[in-house]
Amino acid sequence: MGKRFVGDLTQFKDKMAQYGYSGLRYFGQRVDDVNGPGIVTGTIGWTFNVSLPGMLVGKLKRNPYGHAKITSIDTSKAERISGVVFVGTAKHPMFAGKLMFGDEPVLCDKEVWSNNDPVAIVAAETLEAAEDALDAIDVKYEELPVEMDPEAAASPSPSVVQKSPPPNKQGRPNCFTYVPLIYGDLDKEMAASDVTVEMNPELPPDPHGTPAPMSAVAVWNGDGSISVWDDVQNIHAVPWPTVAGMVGLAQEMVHFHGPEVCAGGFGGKNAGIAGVYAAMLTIITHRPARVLYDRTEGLLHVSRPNWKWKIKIGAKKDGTLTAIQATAYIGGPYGRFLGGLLERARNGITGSYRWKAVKYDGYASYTNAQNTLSYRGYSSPETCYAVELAIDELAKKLGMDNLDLRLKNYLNEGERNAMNEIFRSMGEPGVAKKIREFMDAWGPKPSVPDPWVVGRGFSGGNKYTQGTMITNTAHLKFKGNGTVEIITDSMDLGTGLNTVWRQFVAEGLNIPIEKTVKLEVNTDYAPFTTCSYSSMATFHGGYALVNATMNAKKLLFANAAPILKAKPEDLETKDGKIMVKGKPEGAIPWSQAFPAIPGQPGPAEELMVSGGIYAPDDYQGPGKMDPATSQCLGPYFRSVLFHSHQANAAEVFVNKETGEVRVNKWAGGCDLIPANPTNVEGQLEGGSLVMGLGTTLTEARWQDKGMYLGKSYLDWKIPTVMDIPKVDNVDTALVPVWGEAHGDNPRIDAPFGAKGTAEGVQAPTAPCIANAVADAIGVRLTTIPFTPDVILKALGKA
Amino acid sequence: MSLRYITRFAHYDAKTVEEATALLNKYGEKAKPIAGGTALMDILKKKYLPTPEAIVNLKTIPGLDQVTEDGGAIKIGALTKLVDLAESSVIKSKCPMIADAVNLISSPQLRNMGTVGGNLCQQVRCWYYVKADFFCYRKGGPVCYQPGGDNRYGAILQQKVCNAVIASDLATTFTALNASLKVEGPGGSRDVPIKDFYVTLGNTLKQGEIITWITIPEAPSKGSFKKFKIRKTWDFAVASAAVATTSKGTIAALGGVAPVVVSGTPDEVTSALGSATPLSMNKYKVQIAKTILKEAMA
Ligand SMILES: Cc1cc2nc3c(=O)[nH]c(=O)nc-3n(C[C@H](O)[C@H](O)[C@H](O)COP(=O)(O)OP(=O)(O)OC[C@H]3O[C@@H](n4cnc5c(N)ncnc54)[C@H](O)[C@@H]3O)c2cc1C
Ligand code: SF4
Repeated sequence: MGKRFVGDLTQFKDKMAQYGYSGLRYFGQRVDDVNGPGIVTGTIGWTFNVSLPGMLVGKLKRNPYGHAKITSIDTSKAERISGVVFVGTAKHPMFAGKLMFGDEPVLCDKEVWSNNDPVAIVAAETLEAAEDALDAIDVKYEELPVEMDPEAAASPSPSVVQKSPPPNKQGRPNCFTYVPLIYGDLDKEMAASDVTVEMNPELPPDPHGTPAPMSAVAVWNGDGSISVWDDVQNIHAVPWPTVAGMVGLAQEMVHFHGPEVCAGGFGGKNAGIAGVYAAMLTIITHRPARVLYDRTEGLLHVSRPNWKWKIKIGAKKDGTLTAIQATAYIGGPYGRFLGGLLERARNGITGSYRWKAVKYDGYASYTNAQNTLSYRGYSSPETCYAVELAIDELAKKLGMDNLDLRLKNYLNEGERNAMNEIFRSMGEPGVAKKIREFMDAWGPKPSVPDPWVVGRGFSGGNKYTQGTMITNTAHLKFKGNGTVEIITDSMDLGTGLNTVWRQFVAEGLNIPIEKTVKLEVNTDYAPFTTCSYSSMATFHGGYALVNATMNAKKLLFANAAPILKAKPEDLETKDGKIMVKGKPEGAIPWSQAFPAIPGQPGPAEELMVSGGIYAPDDYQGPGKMDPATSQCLGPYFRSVLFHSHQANAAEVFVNKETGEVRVNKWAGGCDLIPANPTNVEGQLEGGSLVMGLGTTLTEARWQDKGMYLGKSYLDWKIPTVMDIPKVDNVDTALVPVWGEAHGDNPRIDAPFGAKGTAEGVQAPTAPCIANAVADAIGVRLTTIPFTPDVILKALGKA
Repeated sequence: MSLRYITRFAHYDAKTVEEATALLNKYGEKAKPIAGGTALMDILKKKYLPTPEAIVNLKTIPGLDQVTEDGGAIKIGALTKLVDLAESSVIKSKCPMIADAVNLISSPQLRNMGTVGGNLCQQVRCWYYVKADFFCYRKGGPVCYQPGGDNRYGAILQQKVCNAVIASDLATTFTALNASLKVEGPGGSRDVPIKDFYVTLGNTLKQGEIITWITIPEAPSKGSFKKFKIRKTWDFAVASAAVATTSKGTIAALGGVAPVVVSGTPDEVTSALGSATPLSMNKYKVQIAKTILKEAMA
C-alpha cells in the first residue's frame, strides 16, 4: 500500500469536546460502511430489487439516428402481440408533453434530435412480449444532417438550425444559454504580460457508466395517488416535482421513494426520468409498472457534453498571473442542465488563482450529440482541465517550477476573487505542497527500456459547492430505548453517506453509531434536505443534522435540569444518558427528559426534533450578481458556498512506438476535515484515479453521423483493475483546512469542518495525466482521450 | 444486467459428431452449433444477425476437450475450454506461446466458458456489424460503413469488400504454428490448413461442418505471441503478432489487421506491412503492428 496521509486532528478533537460533542469518538474515524455487506451481497434496497405482484414491464422504443424526421409510426402490429397491454406514442395525451426544461419531448413524434431519443413506449406482461412489441413497432425516418460540434453549432450562421423557433442567444440561432464573466481590463493586462499561453483544450462526451442503469417502479393506488420507487440521487429537488408535474398530480399524490443506496449516480441520476415513464404507465394501466433501462440505454441516455475551450493566459516574468481569456462551447440535443454548467465554469476559473483580469464567454447550443445531464464535478473537471494545462505550459515558458508558480498565485483565505466573492475554506496550497512532497519522495524518474519514456505531471484543482436550494431540514426521532432515527432526503450513492450521517449524529449526541438508524428516504415523511449533488450532501445535510442534535440537547437539558437539580448549561450527554458535567453517577436516561404529553403524567415515548436551514449571512446576501459581468455585488454576496481543493501527481510511462500510456504512480489529495477518512480515500482512488484515468486515456463516445458506436462496455473502454497503477504506487492525502489555512472558522460546529469531496477529486486528474504525458513525449496534447492513435500522431508516427 | 429477450429456437444436445453434423445439415443455414456460447449469445441477445431456428450443442459430445501429444504433434480438441488449453501441461511444456495467447483473450470468466473451436469460428467485432441498426455488406447489405465512417479499429491490409478484422487470437497463433483443422461434416472428414480456412467474409466451413480437432504438426523451437490492445484485459487486439520457428522454418502471422490472418515468412509479413493500405483513421495501426511484429520476432 502506498502512503495514506491524514492530517493531524488533535487540536480539532479538543475543540470538539469543548463544544460538547464526543471529541471525535465517532466523527473523523474510519467507521466501516454500514451498507457494505448489503451492497456486496446484493440485498441492499436497490430500486431494481423492488418488485410488485402483477408488475408490467415498460420499455421504450428508441431512435437509431443522430437527427431525423419521423415520417410515420405504426404500432398496430405491436398492439396485437399477446401479452402486450399498452403501446403509446406522443399521440396519447399522457406522452404529448415536454420534459425538463420544456424542449424535450416525452416521446418524439415529428423529429428526433439524438441517438436514443424515445419514440414509443410499451407495457407488457413479460420482457419477451415487450421486446417483441418494440421490434414490431414500425417507425419510418428521414435522416437529417447532424451537427456534433458545439462550436460550429454556436456559429451565427450554423449549417443546421436545430429548433424552430431558434433560441438565437447572442445572434447565434442554436445558442440557448450564454454566460459571460468580465473582471478587470483584459486588453491592458494581456498587453502588460511578459508571457502568454494559448491553447484549445477539448473534452469529448463521456457517459456516466453507472454500476446499474436507471430503473423505476410505479404503482397506482386506489385513492388516485401513485407510489414511485426511483433510482435517483435525491427525491425532493428534481425527480419528485418532475414526475408529479409530468403526470399532472399534486406532489402530495405522488409517494416518492428513493433507494437505500443509489446504484451509482455521478450526476446521471439527478432527474429520475425512468420514474416519469413508470408513473405514466401505471396511471394508464392501473397496474404496477417497471421501467428498467438496459446496459445500452444506460450508456446512451446521458453523458457529459462535449467541451471545447479556447483559452489564453498571461503572466509577468516573475510568475505573477495577469489575465485569462476563456471561451467555452458545449452542446446537446436538449437544454437539460447545460446552462448551469456554463455558470459553474466561472467558479472553476476563479476558484484557485488570483487574476487581474478575466474574460469568459460560455455558449451552450443545440447539437445532435448524446443527451446530457450533470456529470461528476458539473464543469469543475472540464474547466480545471483547460486552466491547469495552460498553467503547466506557462511554467515551462517562464522556466519556473510549476508548484512555485501555483503557490505564488493561489488566492488567500478571505481574499476577494475575480467574481468579487470572499474566498473561504482555501486549502489548495496545503494540498498542493503535500502532493508535491509525495511526488518528490518517489525519487528520480526511473530508467525504462527504449521505446518507453517517463513523464511526471502535477495539477491542482477546485470544485465549488453550490448553496442554492439550501433550505435544509433534518428530523431526528429519539426512541425510548436510546436509539435515534435519522430522517432526511439525500441518497448514499455508494459513497458512504448513510454511514457518515450516522457519524454526525453519533458525534453530536455522543452515542455509539449502532444506536443510530437512517430511515428510508421518501416524500411521505422525509423533509427537504439538500441533495446528493454538487458535493453538498455531507456539508448541508451534516449541518442540518448537527443543528438537530444541538436543538435536541437544548430541549433535553432543559427538561433534565430540574430532575438533576442543575442548570442546563452544566449538563452533558453520553451514551444516551444525561448527567452533570463530569458526574456520571447521577445520570438519567434521555427518555426521562422527553417532554410530557399535555395532561399525561410521564414523558412521551418518543421525541422528534428538527434542525437545519443553513443560511449563513455571508451567503447570497445582501447583494446580487450582475448578469452582464457575473460580478457579485454587495459586501458578502457569493455565488458559491465554498470551494474544495485538490491536487494530483502522476508518473506515466509512454511507449513511443505503440502509443500506449501507463500510469505507473499516482498521488491524490484534497482539503477537508474528513468525516470518515476511509470514505474520502475511496473517493480519491475510485473517483479521481480510476474515473479520471478512464476519461483521460480510454473512454470516449465514438459516433458516426450522431449514431453512437460504443454501445457496450467492450467499446466504451472503462478501465479495468489491470489498467490502474498497483496499490503500492497510489498515495493519498487528506489535508485539513482547519487551522493555518482556514483561520478561526466561525462554522466549527457546522458541520464539524467537513466539506464535500465526491466530485472535486476528479478535477485535477485529467490535467495531471495530460501534463505528465506532455513531460514524457515533449508534445502538448490537448484533446482527451489520449488513445494510441493520438499519441502516435503527435509523435509523427501515424 | 441486460435482460434482453432471446427469440425462440430449437435446442439439441448432440451426443456424437455425426448427430451434430446431421442436425446442422438438416437445418442448413438456419442452424448454428454452440460450444461455450460466449460469442453466440451476443448475437442472440443483440440480434444483429438472424436468430437461428436450431442450435446444436456440441458440449455434450464426449472426447473433444482433450489436449494430447501425438508423436511430435500436438492435438487440441475443438471443445477444449480456453482456460484448460492455457493450463494444459502439454501446452505449457511444448508450446507455451499458445498459453500466452490464451491468457490475453477476453477475461478469466469468458475463458472459463469459451472453447477453442468457438474462438476460431467467432464473428468479426466491427462496431457497425454488431449493431442491428447497420445492415452492412457482410450481412448482405449494400455498403461497408467503415471507409466513410469511423474506421479507427478497421483493417489496414487486404481490405476487399469488408474492412473488419479477424477477432480470434488463436487464429493468429495457430497460423504461425502451421496448424491444420480437422473438419467433419455430412460428407465425412477433411483436413484444412488453417491458412486456407479463413476468407474475407468468414471461413470455408460448408453446410453441416464443424471443427473437431486442431493439429499442430511440430512444437516450435522458438515461438512468441504479442498483442496490443487499448485496455489490458477484456479487449480485442488492435493488432496481434505470432511468430514460430520449427524445422520447416519460421512463420509470422498478424491478427487484427485484416479480415483474415496475414501470414508468411517474417520478411514477407514485414514487407506486407510496408505496403499497408490504412483507412482514413487507422494509420496508427500500421505503426503498432510493425512494433509488435518486431517484438514477436525478437
Ligand atoms: C467481451 C469479450 C471479449 C473477447 N475478447 C477476445 C479476445 O481478446 N481475443 C479473442 O480471440 N477472442 C475474444 N473473445 C471471444 C471469445 O474468446 C470467444 O467468445 C470464445 O472463444 C468463443 O468460444 P465459445 O465456445 O463460447 O463459442 P460459441 O459462442 O459457442 O461459438 C462461437 C461461434 O463459433 C461457432 N462454433 C463453435 N464451436 C464450433 C466448432 N467446433 N466448429 C464450428 N463452429 C463452431 C458457433 O456456431 C458460433 O458461431 C471475446 C469475447 C467477448 C464476449
Ligand atoms: S467492415 Fe465489414 S463488417 Fe464492418 S461495416 Fe464494413 S462490411 Fe460490415
